[in-house]
Amino acid sequence: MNLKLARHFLLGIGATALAAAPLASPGKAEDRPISIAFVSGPLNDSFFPPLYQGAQDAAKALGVKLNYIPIDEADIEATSARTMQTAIAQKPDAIVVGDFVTSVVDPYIKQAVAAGIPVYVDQSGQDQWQADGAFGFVGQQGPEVGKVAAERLIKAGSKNILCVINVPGNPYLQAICKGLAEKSKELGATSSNLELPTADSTDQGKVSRDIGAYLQSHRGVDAIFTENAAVGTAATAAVEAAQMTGKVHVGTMEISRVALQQIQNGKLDFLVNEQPYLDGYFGVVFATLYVKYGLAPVGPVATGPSIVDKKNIDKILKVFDTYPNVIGSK
Amino acid sequence: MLASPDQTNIAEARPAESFDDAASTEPVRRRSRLTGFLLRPEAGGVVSALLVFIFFAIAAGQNGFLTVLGTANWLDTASDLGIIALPVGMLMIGGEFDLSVGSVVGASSMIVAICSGYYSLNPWIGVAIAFAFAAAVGVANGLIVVRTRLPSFIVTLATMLMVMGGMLGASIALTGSSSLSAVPSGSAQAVFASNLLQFHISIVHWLVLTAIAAYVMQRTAFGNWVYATGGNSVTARLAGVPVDRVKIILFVCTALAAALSAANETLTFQNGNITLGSQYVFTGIAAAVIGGVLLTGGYGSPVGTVFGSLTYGIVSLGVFFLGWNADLANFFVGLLLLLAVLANHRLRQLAMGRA
Repeated sequence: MNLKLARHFLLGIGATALAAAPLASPGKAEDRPISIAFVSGPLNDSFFPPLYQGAQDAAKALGVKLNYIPIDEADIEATSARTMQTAIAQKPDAIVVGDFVTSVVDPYIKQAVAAGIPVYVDQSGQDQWQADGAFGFVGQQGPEVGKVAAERLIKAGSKNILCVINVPGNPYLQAICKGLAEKSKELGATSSNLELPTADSTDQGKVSRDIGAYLQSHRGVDAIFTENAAVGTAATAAVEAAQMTGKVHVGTMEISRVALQQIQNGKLDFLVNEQPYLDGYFGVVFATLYVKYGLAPVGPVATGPSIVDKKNIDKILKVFDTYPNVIGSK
Repeated sequence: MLASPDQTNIAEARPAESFDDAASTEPVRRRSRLTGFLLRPEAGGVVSALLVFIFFAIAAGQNGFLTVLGTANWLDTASDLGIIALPVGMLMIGGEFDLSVGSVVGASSMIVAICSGYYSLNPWIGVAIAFAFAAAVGVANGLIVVRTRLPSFIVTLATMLMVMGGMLGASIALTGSSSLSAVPSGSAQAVFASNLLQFHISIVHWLVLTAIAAYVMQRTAFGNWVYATGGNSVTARLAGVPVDRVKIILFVCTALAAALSAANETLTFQNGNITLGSQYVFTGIAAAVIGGVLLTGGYGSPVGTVFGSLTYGIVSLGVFFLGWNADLANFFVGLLLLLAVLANHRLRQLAMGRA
């Protein structure tokens, strides 16, 4: 036998043996850390970095292996499907998923549950999780946010609320405005929606001018509610440019430094703090406890909406400065 | 039989021009001033801007379109786009495309925010680093295009993805976030973020850049080189034009404009965002084409691009004054783009046939 060939042959056997060693040993389940696949939103959407931070902090505290799989909001349906397929294929101990597009994700949740992977629904999907066989839900109800916002703005004296949707066609954001519309009608006010063109959604200057133009052509509007902090500050700029500060009340979702400053100087009436950090943190914690002990909270766990306004701004600011990326991006 | 005015034109024009170019005032005088204007590259852009302004003035005038605030609205929008459309148009005249402008805007925005917000440095430092980064991307784009002779469409598509992903990764690694506050102060605020009434200082930046671009394209050798490179780069090279250097400089210009636009937006709204500027990839090209720049290169002018940007600004804000579905703005811009290309094509045919 050729010496060179023999050497290659032995090296090949050795490499295969080394690679197969972990598979060969029985490997006690308790030694291997729990692995969690977390399917949620992309980090270029400012809502999700705190959620990711929360998930990572919990994973570190509990010693579990976290695999965060983000969807692409520009191609939300296809990537919602692909990310769930990836998660299921990895055979994790549990899947935590943000059910943003229920028509696409629900079948995959059912598929995962049927394959023996417990699923925990996180942040979105409050109506479907039980029917799909998931063992729990943590997050907030979109329409709840709209209701709370409507109450706040109407209490401040508004009669005609503009609800600004910054991602056109996004069902979660539309549900929020729908909740706002229903509550407004109940309390005797009117509301309308403004869907911003997709291309403008991150261009604050353009968004500010779009809202300004809308205000000028719809003179009755006396309150604006926006669904993220960047659009919120664009809205306050529009109100200021039209010299209607104080006459038009503005509230927004999400927290940013500028938004907190505007609460302090009165340009913003209130912020809805969705506490995405808790969504991430609790998602990992609840999934881990279920995998380990089979224990889980009964029923949905609400992490929002909680309101930030002049009354609690100082407390929030202190946490914001001390712990970056927990309350909102710095 | 009396010869028709056109025949008289051509019969008298040709001999005069072929024997004595310097004294060819005769045919010029016979051609009407209107025709002369319509044959200029900017004609399409001016006409488009005028038409849409008149349309929205009539339809939305009483809704606030004609107020000072309304005018500031579309002028600000036009200037934001215009700053980027100018060098994009010049690059297109030079025969190349830059698809990475959008992601350079986003990346520059994050650099400014990370430096001035996260690290609390003087905002000028963030701006300087952003400009340096943009210049580096421009040089990279230019070098890859001239060395590999690959289509710039593909090269800049690749750099767009790399800049976008790279910056997102870097900002998450450094700060854990993709959206940060930027804290303007002092002179940086005045230069990038100030307003007069509701007119933003980006209008001033835009006008200055337009003046420089128009001068360079009309009056300098470099301007000639750009037209030559775009018209036929092989011939240009043989004639001694430094084609490679021209292209690299143009790519650096588009990237620097992207950084300027990012600095304006980030310091005005005190927020840096990785996705800022993604729409400029398309709207920049649209503004240039509506303004008379040919996709094949070698033809167009900065002034035309200015009017193309004005057209876009008027249309994209006008729909809000009318209360129409905001995505109709995109429909209009697309439609105008098509009409402008057809009109420019027709006018160019006329120019070729009659001169």
